[in-house]
Amino acid sequence: MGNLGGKVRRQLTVRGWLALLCAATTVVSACRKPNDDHVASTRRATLNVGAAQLTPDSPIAGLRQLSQLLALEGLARAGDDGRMQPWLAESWTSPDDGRSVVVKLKPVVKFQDGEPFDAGTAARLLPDTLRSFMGSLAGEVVSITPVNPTTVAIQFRQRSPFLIEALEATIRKPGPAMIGTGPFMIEGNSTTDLRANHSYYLGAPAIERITVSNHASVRTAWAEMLRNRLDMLWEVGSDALDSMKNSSSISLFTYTRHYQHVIAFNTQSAALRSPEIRRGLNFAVDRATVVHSALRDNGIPSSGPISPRHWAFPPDAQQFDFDARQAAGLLARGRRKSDGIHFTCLVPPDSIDERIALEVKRELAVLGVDMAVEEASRDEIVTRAANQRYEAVMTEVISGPTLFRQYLVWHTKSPSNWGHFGNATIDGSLDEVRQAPDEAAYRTAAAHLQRAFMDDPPAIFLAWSVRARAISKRFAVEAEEGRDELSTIRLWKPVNIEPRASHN
Amino acid sequence: MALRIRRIATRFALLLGIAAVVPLVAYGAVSILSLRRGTRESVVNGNQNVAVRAAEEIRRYVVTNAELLKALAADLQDTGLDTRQQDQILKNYVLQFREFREITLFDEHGAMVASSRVGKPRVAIPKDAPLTINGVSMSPIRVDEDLLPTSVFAIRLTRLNQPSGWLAGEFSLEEMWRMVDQIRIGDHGFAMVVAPGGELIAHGDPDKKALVAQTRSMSGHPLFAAARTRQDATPVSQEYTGEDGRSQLGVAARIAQLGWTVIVEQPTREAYANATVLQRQLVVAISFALLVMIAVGYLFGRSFINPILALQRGTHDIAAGQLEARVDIRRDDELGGLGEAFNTMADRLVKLQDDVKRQERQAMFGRVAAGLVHDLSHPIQNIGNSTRLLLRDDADAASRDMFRRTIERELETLKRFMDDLRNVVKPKPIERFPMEVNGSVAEIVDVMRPEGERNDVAVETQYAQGPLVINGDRFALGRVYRNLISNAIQATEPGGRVTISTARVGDQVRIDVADTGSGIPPDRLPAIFDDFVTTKRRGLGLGLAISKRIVEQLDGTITVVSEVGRGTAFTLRFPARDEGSARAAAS
Repeated sequence: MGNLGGKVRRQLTVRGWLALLCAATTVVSACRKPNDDHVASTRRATLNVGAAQLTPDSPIAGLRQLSQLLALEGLARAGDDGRMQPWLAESWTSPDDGRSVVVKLKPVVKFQDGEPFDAGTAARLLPDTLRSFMGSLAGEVVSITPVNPTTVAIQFRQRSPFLIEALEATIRKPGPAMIGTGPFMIEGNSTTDLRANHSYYLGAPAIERITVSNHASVRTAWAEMLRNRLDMLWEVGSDALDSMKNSSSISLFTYTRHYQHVIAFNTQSAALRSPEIRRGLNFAVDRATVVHSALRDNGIPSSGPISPRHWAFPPDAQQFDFDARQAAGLLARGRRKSDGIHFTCLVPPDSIDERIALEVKRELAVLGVDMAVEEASRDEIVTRAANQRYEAVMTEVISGPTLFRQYLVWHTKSPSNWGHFGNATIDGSLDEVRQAPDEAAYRTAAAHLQRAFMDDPPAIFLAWSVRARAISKRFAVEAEEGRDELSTIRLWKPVNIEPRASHN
Repeated sequence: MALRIRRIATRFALLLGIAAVVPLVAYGAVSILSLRRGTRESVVNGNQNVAVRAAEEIRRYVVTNAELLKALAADLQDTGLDTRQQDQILKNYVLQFREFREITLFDEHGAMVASSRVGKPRVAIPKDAPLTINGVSMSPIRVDEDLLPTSVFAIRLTRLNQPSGWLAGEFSLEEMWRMVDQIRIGDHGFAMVVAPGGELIAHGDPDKKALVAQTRSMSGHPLFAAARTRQDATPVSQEYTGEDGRSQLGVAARIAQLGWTVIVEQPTREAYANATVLQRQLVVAISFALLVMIAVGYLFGRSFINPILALQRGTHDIAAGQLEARVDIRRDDELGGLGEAFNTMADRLVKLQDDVKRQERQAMFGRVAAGLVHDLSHPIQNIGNSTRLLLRDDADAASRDMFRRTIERELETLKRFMDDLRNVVKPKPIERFPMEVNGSVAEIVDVMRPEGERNDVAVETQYAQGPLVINGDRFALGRVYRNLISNAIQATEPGGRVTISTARVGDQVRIDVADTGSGIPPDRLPAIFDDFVTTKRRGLGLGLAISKRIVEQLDGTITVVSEVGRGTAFTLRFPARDEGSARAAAS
């Protein structure tokens, strides 16, 4: 009994000390200075994002595009390997005939104006959404009908893997205001300001506001971030990457974009009509040198439209490896005159594009190809490409993560193919992918597509661009493996860190 | 005694301190100061070398690029190239040399001829180039369209000794940043480059590149001003507090050709980290050595002092009569020998003491036996003679009565003798009652007076006036008086005198017994109150011992004054009682 009493007393004493310790810890925590490196309790943080040359000649459109990424969501989104993952959809099934998909929606999703996103709403909005995203392929959609409040069925005219890949189309309510289901909502008619969607179904973001500013160049935006006027650089140029790598106040998140630097050809132009010439030009370019010289090694050489990370990428795919002799032979066979090959490449006013173009020009010149470089604004490039008033254009084209994106860019009948790129060979391969009934056929079609781009190349595929987002350490970033940090902004938390060099 | 121990310990501690600790501490202090000074000089020199080398590399970098542009200019103007070829060369040049963001060829009138840029050229012919590097003019540092610092190189082209145009190249200072970024000292030591006007051109600290973008003026930097005032290229160094509040070690070296200043900054905490570590190690080593030395000194001192203290304690114990005291010193040195000698000495003392005691016991026994024989033989002989005479038929009545009294007297003598012996063995308890001194003394004097007469010694008395009352035992004190008077009579030659007097002295009653006898030698006076000590030829020597014991039991004192040949005087003192008691005693 005495021992028991003693034990109880000891326990009480221990508990007393623990309680005292907890109380002391609480007091110390409460008294700690708020400028410590801890997550701030304030929710009134603003994230200042700097972007460069979204569209220099139409900045509003570019900013609007950026804002859409934060405000709008689709039923599904593509993973880095091209496979689709549920987003607003909870799951989906595809009946045996493969011509329909039944999508089960997440039950708690609401639009930013408070309206629930249910099957009825989805059935009402999806036709326009798919039409906008798929272009002429939207005609393949037979019907979109709600099965019950959380299930919607989409019927296609014929079976296609693009049926699922098209579900990444972002959904917005009709009208002038851009209203979606994303964690941030656009402030009125602004193109630069977003505020937190406090009723977001995955939890309100910790960042209250996002302001986006557009800058003339990546370097300009970088200089602004150096001056601590920006919290995030949309993209860090290769020139600035090195100087930011060791910063203790900025975090760099490098990622390989699903965009490629390409020199797209007008295959109808006299100079580049010959497949031999186009193949010869592809063999004539040393992509590793381009990446090293123009991109400072911040890129991955490429020679086709399919990302090596795509699940259907053929492991034995042929590549355009640098081969001067083969290039010379092809060019010799393809040229019509003996005085050489001349063509002009339109280059947007971007220092990186310019350096790439100059490097390619230098390499082609070695084989007697004269590629004239002409600077043109993006709008001018688009206009001239649409009118077929060009021979080649230096640009970045989307190449994934799904092959549906390649279809949109390279199929001659796609409305998104703004330069009328591609040819019948490419179209045939893309249609084979579109009609693949299963994964095996999809893989085969992907291999054929890669082969088609080798046999009749519509462009010189140069490099996958590796970019980085620079984010001030005033924000604690929740990074997710394989995903762009942009998709996790809602999880970022402001951290109170005094900038080390902000005395001016 | 404790003080003496402490003194020995203190002296030993002082010896240890002066001979070992102080020199070691002094050596350590000097070493630390030398180390600090030496390492600091070494660090400063090292950083200065870095700054000088960095300045030279930056100078060479700029000059090399100026030379490159110069070589390009030579290619362009001397080989008769057409515009298209010139354009191609310029484009290839910027691809090959990133140090130039743009190179443009102008004609004599300032119109563009060819450019590395695909679009419209941005570079212009510098009008106010204050600096020339091997024939290449260099514009002052200015900010470009992104508000970042930049500079333009330009070369005047000539053909047939006539001006034919300009070649201008925008020099990318950001490319120079890469080189500056590589100038590192430790983890936090960085370089910065400052233009003549104080503009910050490059900063190696990634977190301070913002200062470049903010077009920070460094004209207020302490090293910038110090470096500019130097006439030669000797680097300057200084310690100062940086903007972040940290102490910095800065060194600056000028690039005289460009007018630029290279400043290398390193937090002093990091710069002197090795020195601090070495200093700390030295302090630890010296402290450890000091502790070891003190510990060894303490242990050695303790092993040295402890035997001395043990010997001291043993000596004190022996002196205090504790002859069984020994010292335990187990050593092989002189102190061990000293301990053994001490113990041998103590053993010898014990043996000597035992011998003395045995001899004393033997002497005592002999003296007691002789005394007993002497004291008993006379009364027994008298009793025997008187008894034989008493039994003779011819003894008359008077003789018989005399013989009978002689027997009774001698028996009384034997009885007293036996009482004395018994009292020595087992003292009688003392009873205290108020008693009048004069009366009790007179009773004994009356008894003893016949003995005086027999020895032809006059017994005289001088009693004080009034009653003298003390708390005493009448019978015990009677024995004291009798002993003293009897001794006095026996010590006095015939014709001498024994005087007994009483007196009241303050709150004491005094009784004196003085004689005119032979006196007691001074060397025997201290022992006359001891048992079995006597100056007489007969007797056991118990009388004075018993008397002293009785007097002291009654809170009195007994003292003696004697002079050989003049006589002896014993004085008894007792506390006097008050008047009431005196009346009670008188009644």
